[in-house]
Amino acid sequence: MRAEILGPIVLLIFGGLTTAVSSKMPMGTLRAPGSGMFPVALGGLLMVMSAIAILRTLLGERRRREGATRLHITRSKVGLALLVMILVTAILNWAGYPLAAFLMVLGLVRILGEKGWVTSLVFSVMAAGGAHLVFVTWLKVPLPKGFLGL
Amino acid sequence: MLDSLSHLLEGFSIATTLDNFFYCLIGAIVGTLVGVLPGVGPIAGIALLIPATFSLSHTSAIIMLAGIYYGAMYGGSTTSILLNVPGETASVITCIDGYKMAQQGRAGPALAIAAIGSFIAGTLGICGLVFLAPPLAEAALAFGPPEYFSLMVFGFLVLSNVTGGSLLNSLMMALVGLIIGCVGMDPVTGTPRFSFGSASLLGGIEFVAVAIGLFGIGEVLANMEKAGEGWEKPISVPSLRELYPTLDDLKRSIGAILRGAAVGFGVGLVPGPAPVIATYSSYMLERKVSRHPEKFGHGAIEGVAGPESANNSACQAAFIPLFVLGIPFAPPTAILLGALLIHGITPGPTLISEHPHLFWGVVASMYIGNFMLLLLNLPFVPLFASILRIPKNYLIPLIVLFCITGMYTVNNSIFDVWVMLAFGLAGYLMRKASYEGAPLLLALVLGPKLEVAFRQSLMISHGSFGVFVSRPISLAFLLGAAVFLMYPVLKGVVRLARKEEGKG
Repeated sequence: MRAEILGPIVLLIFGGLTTAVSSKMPMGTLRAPGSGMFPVALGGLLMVMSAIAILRTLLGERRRREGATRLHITRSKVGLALLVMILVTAILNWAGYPLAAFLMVLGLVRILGEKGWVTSLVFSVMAAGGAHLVFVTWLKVPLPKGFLGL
Repeated sequence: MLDSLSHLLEGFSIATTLDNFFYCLIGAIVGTLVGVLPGVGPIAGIALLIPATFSLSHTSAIIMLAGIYYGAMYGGSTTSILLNVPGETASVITCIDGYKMAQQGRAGPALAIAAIGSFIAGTLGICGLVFLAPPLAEAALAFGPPEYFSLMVFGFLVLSNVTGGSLLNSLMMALVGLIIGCVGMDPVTGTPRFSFGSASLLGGIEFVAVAIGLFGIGEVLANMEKAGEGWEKPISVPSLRELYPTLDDLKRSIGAILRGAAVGFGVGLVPGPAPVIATYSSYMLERKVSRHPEKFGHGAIEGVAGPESANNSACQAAFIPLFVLGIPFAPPTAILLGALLIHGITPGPTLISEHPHLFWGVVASMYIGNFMLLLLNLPFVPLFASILRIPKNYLIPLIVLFCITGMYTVNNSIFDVWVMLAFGLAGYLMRKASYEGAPLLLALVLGPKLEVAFRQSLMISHGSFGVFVSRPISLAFLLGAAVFLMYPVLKGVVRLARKEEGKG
C-alpha cells in the first residue's frame, strides 16, 4: 500500500480510538478541566490533521502517481531480525540472560550474512559471555537467571 | 559576572573530584564512540547509559550523560571525513569538504581542524552558558503556567518546522507523543488513564523505551537494509604525524571557527535540532563570506572548521533552556531532562539556586570534558576510526544486545523491552514513510508538563482562554508560533504568485 496514505489512515484510527476511550473519562469544566479533556482534544486534533493528510494525498494522487513510493514492510532481513528479537524477549525470563543473549546474537549474526557456523558460534559465545561478565558479574545488574540459574 | 566566576571556581572543585573526573572521561569516550558509529546517535547513547547512572550521585550522572551529548559532536566528524558517512546528523555537512580533503590526502588536517574547532567553540559555548544562564533564570521566574504552555507550543511548532520532513507529518507525530504521554496517572488528579487495568501501564510509557526503540532499534533495522553501503568501505586512517595542520590551514580556519561558534550559540538557544541547523547555517555563512566560494565542495578547510565548531557551540547553548526553563528544545536534551527527573531533580528557574553543586559542577565538567575530547580526538583518532573496521554483521548484534540489556535494567521489566521493540518497529516504519521521531519523543517527555500548564492556566483564568493572549510573554510566544505555522502557507502563496507573474 502507498506509504503516503497508509500513515494518515493509521493515525486517523489512533486518533479516533484515543477520542473514544478518553471521552469516557471525567471531562470537568473549563474552570476545572478533568482527566479526559486534554486527551479528547489531542485525539480530535489528530483526527482532523490525519483527515487533512488523507485528503491532500488523495487530491495529489493523479499528479504523483508516477514515481510513487511504496512501503515495503516485509524486507526479509528486517522481518527475521525482528522475529529473533521478539522470540528472545519472550523466552528471556525462562531461558535466562546468558542463553537468551547467545541465541539472539547467533540469530542476528546468521541473518546478517555470516556464513561460517564456527565463527558465528564462537562470536555469539564471546558476546553473551562478555555481556554477562560486564552486567552481571561487574555491574551486579539483576538479570533473569532462567532455568540454568546463571 | 564575578558571582558567576566564583561559582564556576567552586564548580571546578566539584568536577575535579576523582569520581566526577572519571565519569566525565567515560562520558567523553562513550560520546566519541556514539559519534563515530553510524547508526547510534546521542539520543540512543544517552538513553542506554541512564540505567548505569542509577547508583551514582545526580551530579556525576549528569556529568557523564552530558559528556555523551557533546562528545558525540566531536566523534561525528571522524566518519564524515574518512568515509563520507556521517556518524550522526550534525556531521552531514562535514562530509562535503571533509571527505574531499581526505580524497586529496589531507584527512589529517581535516580531522585536526574539526577537533580544534570543536574545542574552541565548545569552550566559548560554555562561557556563554556560564554568563547567560543565571540572568536568564532570574528572568524566567516571571514565567507562569500560561507562559510555559505558550513556550512549549512554540517549541513544538518550530521543531516540527525545521526537522526536515512535512510540517503536517511532524505535527501529527507531536500529537501522537502527547497522547502516549497521557498514558498512566493524570498528573493533576492522579486518575488512571489508558491503563486498561494493567499495572505496567499505570506508571506510564517509559520514555527511555521509546527513545531506544525509535532511535536505537529503529536505526539498526534501517541499517540492516543498507548492508554493504558506506560503513564497510576500506578506510585509510592518518597517522599521528599526518594530523598536523599547516599554518595556512590554521589561518584560514580561525575566522570560520569563531563565526561558527557565534552562529551555533545563537541557534542553540532556539527550539529545534540545534546542532544540525547550526552546521548548515555556518556552512552557508562561510561560503558567503569566503573570497573563493568556488572552492567549497572541493575540499575547503573552512567548510569543515565552521560547521564542526557550530555544532559544538549549539550543543552547549542547548543546555541553557534545559537548565533555566526546564524545557528541552531538542530530543537529546529531552532525554537529559528525563534523566534529571529520574534523579529527583526538576530543572527550571530555581535549579541554579536550589542545586548549585549540580549546575556549576556540570558546567565546570564541560570545560574538562572538552579538553579530554580534544586529547581523545587528536592522538586517538586512528584508534576510534579502527572501530569502523568491525564488520556490520558483528556490530549490529552487539548494539541490539546492548539495547535489550540496557532497557531491561531500567526497571527490571520485560514489559519495557516489549515497548522498546514495538517502538523499534514503529521507528523503522516511520523512517520508511518519512515521519520524524524527534517531535514524538519531545512531545512524550514534555506532554505532562504541557497538560499541567494548560490546565493550571485555565484554573487561574476561571476557564478563559484569554489568559494565553493577555499576558505579553505568552502572547509573544504564540505570535511566534503562528508565524512558524503560517510560514509554509505564505511560502506557497508567494511561489504561486511568482508562477502567475512568470506566465503573465
